[in-house]
Amino acid sequence: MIDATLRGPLLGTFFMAISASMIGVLAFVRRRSLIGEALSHAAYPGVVCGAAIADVCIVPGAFLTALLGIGAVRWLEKRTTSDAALCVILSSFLGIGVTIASVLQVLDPMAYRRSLTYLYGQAATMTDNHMILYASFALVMTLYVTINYRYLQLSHFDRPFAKVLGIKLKGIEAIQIILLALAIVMGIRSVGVVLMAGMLVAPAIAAREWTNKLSHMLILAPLFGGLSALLGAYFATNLPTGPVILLIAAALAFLSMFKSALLRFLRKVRFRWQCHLENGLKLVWKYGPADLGRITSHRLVQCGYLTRRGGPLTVDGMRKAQQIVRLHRLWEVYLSTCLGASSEKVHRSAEEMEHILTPELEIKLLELMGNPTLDPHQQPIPERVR
Amino acid sequence: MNPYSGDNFFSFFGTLLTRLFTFHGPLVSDEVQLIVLGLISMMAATLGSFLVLRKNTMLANSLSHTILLGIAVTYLAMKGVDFYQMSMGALLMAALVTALLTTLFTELLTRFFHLQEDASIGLVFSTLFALGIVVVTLFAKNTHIGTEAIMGNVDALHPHDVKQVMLISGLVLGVIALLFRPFRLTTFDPTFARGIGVNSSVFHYILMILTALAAISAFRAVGAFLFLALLVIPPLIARAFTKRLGTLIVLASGIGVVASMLAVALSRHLLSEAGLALSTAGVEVVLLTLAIGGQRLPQSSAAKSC
Repeated sequence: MIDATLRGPLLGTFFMAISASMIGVLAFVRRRSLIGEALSHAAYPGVVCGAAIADVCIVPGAFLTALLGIGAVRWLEKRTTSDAALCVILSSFLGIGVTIASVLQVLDPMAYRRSLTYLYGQAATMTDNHMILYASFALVMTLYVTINYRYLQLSHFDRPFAKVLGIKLKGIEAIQIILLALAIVMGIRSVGVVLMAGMLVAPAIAAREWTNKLSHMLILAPLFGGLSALLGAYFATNLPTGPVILLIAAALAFLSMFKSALLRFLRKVRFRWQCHLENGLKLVWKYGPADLGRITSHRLVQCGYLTRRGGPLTVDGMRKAQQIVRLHRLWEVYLSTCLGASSEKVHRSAEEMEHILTPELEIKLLELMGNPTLDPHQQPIPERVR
Repeated sequence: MNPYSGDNFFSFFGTLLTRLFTFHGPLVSDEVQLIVLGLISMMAATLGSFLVLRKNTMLANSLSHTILLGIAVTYLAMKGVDFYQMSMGALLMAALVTALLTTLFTELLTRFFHLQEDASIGLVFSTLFALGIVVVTLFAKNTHIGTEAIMGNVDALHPHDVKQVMLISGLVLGVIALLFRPFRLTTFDPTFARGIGVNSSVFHYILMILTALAAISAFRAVGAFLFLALLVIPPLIARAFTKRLGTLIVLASGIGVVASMLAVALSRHLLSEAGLALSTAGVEVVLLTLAIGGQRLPQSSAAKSC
């Protein structure tokens, strides 16, 4: 089915992306997305040292220096701003790695070449062993997240309550850091040190635009990440795989963000249209039948508020218009008596609020003001519509 | 025929001083490295002082990633520009493209898409860097970007690079000196600045453009990512000694320059004595790292910004 040489890169990156996305969601929710960037750069000296010893030492070496980096970030964060701390560790560890690499370049060029593949990633040479390793890790990650879901939820969103319950927050954080380091260290084989942070962030961003529940995010993000990995590994022919995977993940994130922005915009448009219709009703109620325009009239007739274009309101229409005017004038009374606004200014606010006030708010207003019969402009306030 | 070959750490400075005072002939590679690294460190320390105080260091990190894309775009736009012989015009254009892309993109994500700040920075730099790699691979495969982008190659510097770095540092330091008071104001009291009608946004963009310019001119010497170390570490070390902005900048520049000198001397020493050709930029970062490790940085309780 899938070519044997393609299997390693394809499925290996797939499982890697799944793990990265899941842990990325947890970092995203804590607003610590950039810790992945610091960790992946901190892993680099470990990669180089590991390469100097033996091929199999690369990943453990990277893991060790990544953890060292985290410790250093913690130490620095007590002494300076957290963004500066991250940047210091980012660059200094990378610099140390670079220095060691320059020595390695002379002493052991083959090892040097191997360590370079971890800078930008080299998915194409991944084997079945890699695939099995990443699949196992993805399984571990999924199990961890599923079993500890309640604890994770609490530790991220309600720390005081978690403390009251006696949940070991330090323990959860420690495990999370270790998983993060592992995910990054394994991931840099495919997308490289520089781009790994993106693989953590992009799927989480995409997932967030579709849901606000942590559980759904933890399912959606791996889907997005895995999809990017599959598409990227499959289609990146004469391009390096890592960047392509990342660009696809970023594209998914952008599409999701566009979707949300579009929905927000449409919601506004719908509300404006609603206000426009209600204003039409008010007009006919106050001043008598008028031509409201083809589309408006058609819609109002459809809703059963208007008899025909240019015609009078129906009974339902009269009731609705009356209610709107009532809310308008009630709000005006509220502004002028309780907040001391002058009569000229209350009208504009009431023009907006009349479309928004709910029945519950209406009751509250009446409680505050007793049942007023006149508004600040000496106009009568219509009766409550049943 | 390098007069420094065979020198150890201390005789390096001896040779340097003799050559200085006897105005001996043209610059050799060690001196070129010294001057270039020194100027870059000064620029970086000055810009970095502001960046650290404004908490924009992660944005500077983004910039250093986006540089790859900026340079690639410039390369395409000005056909035939060699990465290693970039003219001032090309440099300026690349810097402008980089800075504007990064900053505008990040602001688009935070303002229009309502994305949280840390995630937007992360998305921006990884996307633009990935794009840069793709562009370079597709259109500029014959140029050796790869590892040199990250590490730089101080030993490939040429005397005429000195002139270019001098011009750029002059420009950067000059602009900062000229606009020192607005920069200081918008850094420490943005609300007051807004109140008296100073547009903080403009100065933010200017600072980003200057940083991108400095980063690009330093690109070949120290590489894109090590420049960040020169930006961030000297101001943090200097912060342990002073609270005044002016002193901070001067002290940070001093630390940067000293680190450069020690780095060049050390690499020369290790090359002569032990035959180890270390990356000089890497050595400088290691020295700075050790220096910051030894510092008793002030315990600030108002540290958490994320």
